[in-house]
Amino acid sequence: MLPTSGSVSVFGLDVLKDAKAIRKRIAIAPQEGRPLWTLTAKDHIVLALMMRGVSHSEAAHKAKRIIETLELTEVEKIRSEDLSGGMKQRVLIAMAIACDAELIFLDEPTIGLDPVSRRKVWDELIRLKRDEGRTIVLTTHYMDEAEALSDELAIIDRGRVLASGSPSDVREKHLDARIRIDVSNGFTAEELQAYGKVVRAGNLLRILTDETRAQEISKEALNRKVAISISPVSLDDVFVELVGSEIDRDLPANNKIEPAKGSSIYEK
Amino acid sequence: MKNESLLSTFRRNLRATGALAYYIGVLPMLRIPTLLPFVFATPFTILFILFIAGQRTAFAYGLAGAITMTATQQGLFLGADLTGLKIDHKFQSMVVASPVSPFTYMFSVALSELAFAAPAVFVITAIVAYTTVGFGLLALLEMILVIILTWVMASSIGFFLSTYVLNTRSAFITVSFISIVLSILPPVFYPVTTLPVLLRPVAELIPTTHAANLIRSVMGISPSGSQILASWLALPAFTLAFLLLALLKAKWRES
Repeated sequence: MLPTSGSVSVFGLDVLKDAKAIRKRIAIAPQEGRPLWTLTAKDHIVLALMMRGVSHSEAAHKAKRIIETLELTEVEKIRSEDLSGGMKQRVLIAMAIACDAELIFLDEPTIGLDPVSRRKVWDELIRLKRDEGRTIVLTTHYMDEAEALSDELAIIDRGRVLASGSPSDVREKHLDARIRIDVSNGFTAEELQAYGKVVRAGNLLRILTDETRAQEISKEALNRKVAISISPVSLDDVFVELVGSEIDRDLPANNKIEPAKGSSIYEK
Repeated sequence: MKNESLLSTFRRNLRATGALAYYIGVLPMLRIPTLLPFVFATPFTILFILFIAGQRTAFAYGLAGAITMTATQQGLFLGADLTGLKIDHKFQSMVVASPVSPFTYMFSVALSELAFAAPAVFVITAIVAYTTVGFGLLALLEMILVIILTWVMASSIGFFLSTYVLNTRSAFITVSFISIVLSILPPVFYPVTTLPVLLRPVAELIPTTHAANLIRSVMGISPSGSQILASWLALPAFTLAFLLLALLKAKWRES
């Protein structure tokens, strides 16, 4: 794959001219990859290490540690064809992080993982960054993941970088609002627009606003005996702001949303 | 790793080759030995038909054809397997992001294919040795050389294809078609002299014609001295050409 324009450098080296030198120092866990069906988790990690010239005994020793870290011990000797989707994903991550690569590319690494496994992977990535000084380039659609793991992030849409910087920089630079309020019922979109910018979030209407307006709408919600949820803005909101659709574009102003079952703590 | 000596590079490549061949080919074969009959199936079926329907000479041609076909098929299967590794498993992406070179990768996976073909080749070679009068060490070495050249030639075609094919199904269909073109249509299971005169030059353009010719010469049947010489020149030339095609024109991530 040759570039149509521009250039890319890794460790100050050109990816085309110095590909050989770069490849020794990187590793990848590809998106939607699948482990080889007859091999176990341990086989995969040993293979990934031996491909880089590590001896079998050293590879087996390292594999043991990674298997324990990513809690693959129970399935260590099970062929990957019999593993769940989440376990398969963990095997691929294990292959990438087992190597001593200085730069690791993880493409949607936690897709299909349950919340506990996801946290395990996060913990290991944070440890690799903190204790071993490794650089990790991680692509994700989970903004909470980007927020929890990134020192630097970039929001990319259709090949264009829409925002970049630290999570707090990106939030501050691209959102005027500091507060987000989720409303499930009891207000029309038109009413809410008086308090700030309104966007749709599933069954909810979300208002992005400031502290003063947040207090006003809280009082109004209390008067109407309607439940609302208030929290600081997140990268999710930045993403929606930059990439997503706005309510005033696709939702009629007088469209009152129906209450979702169990979403309100007050009965009218 | 930044200033790797030649010896360390060699040792690393050797380890990578061994690991890839073992984990992709040998280990799956040991864990699922029931896959092996599939490698035997086609060449042995043709051999069986020739044995039942033909005479002793037809069976001898069948043996030469079966060896050529097994080496060719296993080389070509490399293309289908590499496509699966690339598209379904995304394994090639991991290889590209590692010090493993395209050649090491191709050679390793080709070796893993050879592991599957080895039992079939061994059985047919044993039958050849048993049925050929005066089959000695030199004949065996000649036969091994022809098998290796044929396997490298077919593996190169397989590798080249795998870097262009976009899905596994297309890879299997393409490989099956090329396998027919290389192993069944040309004079692999039958002598070139049975072809119409007009078609003989076309057959000479197919590398497996020469591989089968050379195996037959080892078995003491059919080709004349000049034909053998021509085949000894043609087969390595075809092998080198396809190897260069694979190494220089295959679509690797960084080229």
